Amino acid sequence: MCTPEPRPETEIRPHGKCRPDPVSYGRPRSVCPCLSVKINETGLQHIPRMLKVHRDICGYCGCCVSVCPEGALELIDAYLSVEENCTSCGICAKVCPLGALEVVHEK
Amino acid sequence: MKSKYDVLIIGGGPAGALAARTAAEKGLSACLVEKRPAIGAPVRCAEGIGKEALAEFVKPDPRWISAEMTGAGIVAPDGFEMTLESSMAGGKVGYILDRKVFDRALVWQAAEAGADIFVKTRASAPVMQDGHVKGAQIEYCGHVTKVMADVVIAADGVESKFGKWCGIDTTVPVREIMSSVQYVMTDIDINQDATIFYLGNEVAPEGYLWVFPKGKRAANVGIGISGRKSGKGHRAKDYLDRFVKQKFPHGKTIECIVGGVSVCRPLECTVADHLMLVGDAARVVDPLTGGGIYNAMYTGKLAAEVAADCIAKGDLSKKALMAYDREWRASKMGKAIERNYHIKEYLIKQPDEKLNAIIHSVSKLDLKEFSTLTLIKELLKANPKLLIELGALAASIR
Repeated sequence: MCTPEPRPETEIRPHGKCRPDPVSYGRPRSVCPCLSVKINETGLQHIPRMLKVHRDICGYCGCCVSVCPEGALELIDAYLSVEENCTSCGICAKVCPLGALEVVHEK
Repeated sequence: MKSKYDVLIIGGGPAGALAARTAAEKGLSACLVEKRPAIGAPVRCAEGIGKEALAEFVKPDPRWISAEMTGAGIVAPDGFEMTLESSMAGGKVGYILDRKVFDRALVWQAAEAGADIFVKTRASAPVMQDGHVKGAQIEYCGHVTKVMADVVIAADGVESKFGKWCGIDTTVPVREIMSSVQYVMTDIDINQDATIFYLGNEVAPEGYLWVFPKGKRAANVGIGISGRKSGKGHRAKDYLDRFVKQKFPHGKTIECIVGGVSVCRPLECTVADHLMLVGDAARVVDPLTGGGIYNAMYTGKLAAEVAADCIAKGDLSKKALMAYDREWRASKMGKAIERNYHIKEYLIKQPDEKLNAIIHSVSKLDLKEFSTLTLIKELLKANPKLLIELGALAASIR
């Protein structure tokens, strides 16, 4: 849990596992660059995100694996595995031809 | 499975199969592992290849040729269709393959040449010794074993991980992955002798949509769009569904396949000590067409030839294996990739109006030969201004 100060939108300050997210780059937002911050009653709150694989939608094609900057995805025949080093950057979710991947907040 | 081979090949696509076949023919002990339970399935391909290109590696066989092509059509964003007819002898310029049978035939040839083949068998990690690759950890139905090899050839496709595990960055930039979907459709009205390409930012942003005939009333109907243009509500499948609904409302989809096609530049370096990357894993897909079958077979074969040389000389260092990297870059294929990369970069930046103008102008030309290069050359003749816009590239085309 972390509660970062609101800061200029141009500033990219990764914290912990979170990385600047090229997908959301330049878009106006009220959250930190990694998109892991949500606004609730208590103010800004850092709620970790995770990558969710909708296995009923996934076509097991490996398109996502090729773009993962962390090498965190692997296609094992008809099973897509997500490794621990996934930063939930969302690049894979963007390129998926079927929309089988989704970055969700853990809570 | 032996515990030691001269060459270990990871992946049983056209690149891996040609590498295994060539290595075995050169008298090396070769082992090919394929993680999928069946060679050739699932297909990740529109299945088109030039006739001459194919003949370089394998004798055409009706068992894996779905259709022969005599021409092509390009549909401009405004709906205007230009056609390219072959005036070459025989008139047949290309094939639409049946990749399930084709891939299997290639691996079959590798097996007959003497290579060991293992399916449903996955390389799950490299075996490293003294800082370089000495083999791979192999998993088969719950069994884990180590297979050592003088050279590992990574032919593990677009989803390649082996190179990454060995320290080679194979990440494809988001804008240079073609997010793709294809339906094998039947009961549709098509010209069975021509491949049709649809261009335009409404149809397929920074990519194209294709209809490649597989028979009288059947075709591969697919699309690739830039990863940059993909997102919720506007994915490759959304675009394809819209097209199919409009164009082939009564067609029947008998297969739905998905995939990613890299249209980036090839890897900066495709070798390391005791390691070579080939085919899609080396990112040697043609960036303009997205075609990769020929390039995969070419690099697979070349890699095995260089490996055989290096094994004979007893030097498998990166420096020695670089002969492979240098040769494919200097080849016709390497040059075509470089040239087509520039052309792709130019074309994807053009608005629909410009694409319309280009296609209208080319349609008036009489093309004597049937190739992407001829098309581009004629395009430049008809649009001298393009020469300036394409800059340095123009010199390499003239």
